[in-house]
Amino acid sequence: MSGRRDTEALAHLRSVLEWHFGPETGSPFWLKRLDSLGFDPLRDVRDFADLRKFPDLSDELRTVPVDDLVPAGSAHLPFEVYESGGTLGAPKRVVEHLSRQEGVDWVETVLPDFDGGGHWLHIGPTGPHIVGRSVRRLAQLRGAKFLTVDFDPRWVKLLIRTDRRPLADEYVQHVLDQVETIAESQDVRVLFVTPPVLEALCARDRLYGLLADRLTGIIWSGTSISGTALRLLETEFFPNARVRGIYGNSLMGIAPQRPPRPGDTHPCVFRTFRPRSVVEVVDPATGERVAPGERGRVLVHLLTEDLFLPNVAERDTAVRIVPDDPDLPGDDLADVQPYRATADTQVIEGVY
Amino acid sequence: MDAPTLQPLVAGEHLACDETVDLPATDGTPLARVGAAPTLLLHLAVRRLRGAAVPPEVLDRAGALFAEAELAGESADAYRARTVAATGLPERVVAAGLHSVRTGLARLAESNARQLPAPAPGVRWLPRGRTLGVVTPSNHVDPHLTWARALSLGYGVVVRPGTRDPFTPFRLAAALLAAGLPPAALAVLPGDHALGERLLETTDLGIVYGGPGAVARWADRPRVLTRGPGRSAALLDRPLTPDLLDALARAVAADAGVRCANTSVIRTTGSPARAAEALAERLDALPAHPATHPEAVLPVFPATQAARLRQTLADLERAGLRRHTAADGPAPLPDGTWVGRPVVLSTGDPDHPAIGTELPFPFVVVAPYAPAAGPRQFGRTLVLSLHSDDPDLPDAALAEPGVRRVVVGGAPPWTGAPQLPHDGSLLDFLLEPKALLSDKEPLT
Repeated sequence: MSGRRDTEALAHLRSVLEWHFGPETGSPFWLKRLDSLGFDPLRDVRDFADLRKFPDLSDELRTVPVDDLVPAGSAHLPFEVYESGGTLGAPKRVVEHLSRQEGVDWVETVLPDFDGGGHWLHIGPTGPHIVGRSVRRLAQLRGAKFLTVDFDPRWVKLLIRTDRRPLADEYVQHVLDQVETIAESQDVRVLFVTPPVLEALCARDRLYGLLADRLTGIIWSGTSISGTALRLLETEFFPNARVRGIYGNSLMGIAPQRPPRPGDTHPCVFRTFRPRSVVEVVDPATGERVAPGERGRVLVHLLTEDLFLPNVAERDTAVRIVPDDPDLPGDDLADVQPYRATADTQVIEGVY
Repeated sequence: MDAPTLQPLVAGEHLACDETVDLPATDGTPLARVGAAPTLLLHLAVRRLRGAAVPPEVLDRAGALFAEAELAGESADAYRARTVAATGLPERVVAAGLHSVRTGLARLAESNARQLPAPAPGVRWLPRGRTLGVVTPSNHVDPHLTWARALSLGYGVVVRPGTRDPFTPFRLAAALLAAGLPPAALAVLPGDHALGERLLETTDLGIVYGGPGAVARWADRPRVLTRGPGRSAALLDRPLTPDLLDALARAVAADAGVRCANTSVIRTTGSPARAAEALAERLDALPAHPATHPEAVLPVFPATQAARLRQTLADLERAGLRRHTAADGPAPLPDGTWVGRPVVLSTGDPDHPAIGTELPFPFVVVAPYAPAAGPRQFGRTLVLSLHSDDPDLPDAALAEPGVRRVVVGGAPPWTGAPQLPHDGSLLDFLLEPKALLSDKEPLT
């Protein structure tokens, strides 16, 4: 790595480490663990590769008191608490003042303009899930009204995990009933939706008819979708809409699909807000970065002033794509799929 | 043989899916690549589906094309070879299926007419829905007539092929389209298990073929017709003569033992062990050839499936069943496939839980028959063959709601004729009567 952006990225890493491990500014979470790390982050972490020295402490986010996570230097600021989806066990809690919002502001610059005009409808989680606030911010940046339908992903995952698929389907229809009520009277142009719910929407004649020609943008997220299904969405179901994916979660923030370009080997390439959110695609056995074009497990380093969380192995695998500004650390991602450590691990992808 | 790629068919056009699944032959060699339709393609297909009553000439022509023509670059010989390689069915069983589908198509209109009540003034029989989803099996060619029948009645049909046999529905679809079927009447969507479930939920009516697990979810849904294991049985209440043993052996092992009408339970008023021993001697004599051999009469399996079947059989013996055949499960052949040699087991326990087990090769459990309990002890039974001189038994057996067909004497359990229902009348499921009162049509 070389160049000015590289220097800036390293400066960012340096400042984040100094903030979170500074006795005056750091969080109780990290300061309490400083002695057990076996190294001095301020002395021994010189580059992004050194982040691998940290243990993956993300499991502790399931139980740690949220006050411990807030950096002392920010204690006087309003912090919000969000939780992960809870796909694998109890949810993980993160704290957030402004850093995610800055990420969302950057995401807004990556997404297409969806032809402007009209309003956004969020068919996705709100409440403890940060995505609700992030998409609200996106809509507001575009000058749109933000309409929402509540969607409880944990309930759906519980139904699927306990083999009650018909009830999960019924819940999706309940959600779509509410979408239909909104679509009847409101000028909805952009949808945020998960692929399974979008599929169910396409199967409802009346609702689909209300939205088919009207939508100018669809943002999908939450579960994977096949390349063929994406093509069908764009060419057959919603010919007037730009269809864009967002990958992400409560820990790493959101990674929008970057604009497609000639020579792309995958229909969707996701990009994180580097260097605040750095992902690496690694071989789960060795921890080594896989070669470009190869599939590996997603490893996340979150480096913001609000929260420092390095070396977190995500529940996903992805294909490593080389970013077009390789001065910055980290990979772009394609073809994200749920990760299975062994055949016995049941990952409930659900409908969110 | 080159490996073809089979892609979903919607409204007469094949839509290339990026996601494909490799279909290996039973010997492990690559045979075909099959597109995996996403749920959205199912919704698109249903949206475009438009059924239309199909004239008998189209069905007749389609039958001839199916049996003989080169369709989508595939000759009838290539089709047979691929189906044999993929399913492990003996060559002659596939050839016979090809022939019987051809005959069945030619007689569909007649069969439809003869399975309905005699025409009556003011009564019309009409489809109960517009669209039908069918999850087809891979065990035989014959069941594909079912969805052709639905097409003939005016249904728009979406077929999700069985995993091992996508060739038959694609070929039948190509034959029907070439014969003049309106393209919008049919879609063929290969895909995973979840796609099949979605299909059955999406269309107005559904038909699903499969094992006990596959059909259980739909058993109580009136809009989905399940075609599960046949649990076909025979009652033996006569001395064992060579003719009777021939009939039993044929009922167990004809068509490689893969039909739902193949006998898998025999209950006898005599000694189960003695009957099993005599039957085993006949069945042991069947030759064990690779499926492609012209003399092959037994199915073959890939090694992984053979291992599972052998384990199932070992468990049955451990559960107290006595084995009478030489074979204790599928046995390896030089070409890498495993041949399903017949297995005959017996038990002295009339209530043994293993009675009714179905396996995809000639397999039968012989158990005692308790005359006092009557034919009800057979439980759910697709075909009950009676070898008995009790004159009241045929009517008593037919009166059992779980018994779907009764055969008296040695006729093959699957004997067909246009007017005969298979498992209830398919027409009763697909059609319903409506009244048309018109001053142009007097009621008397």
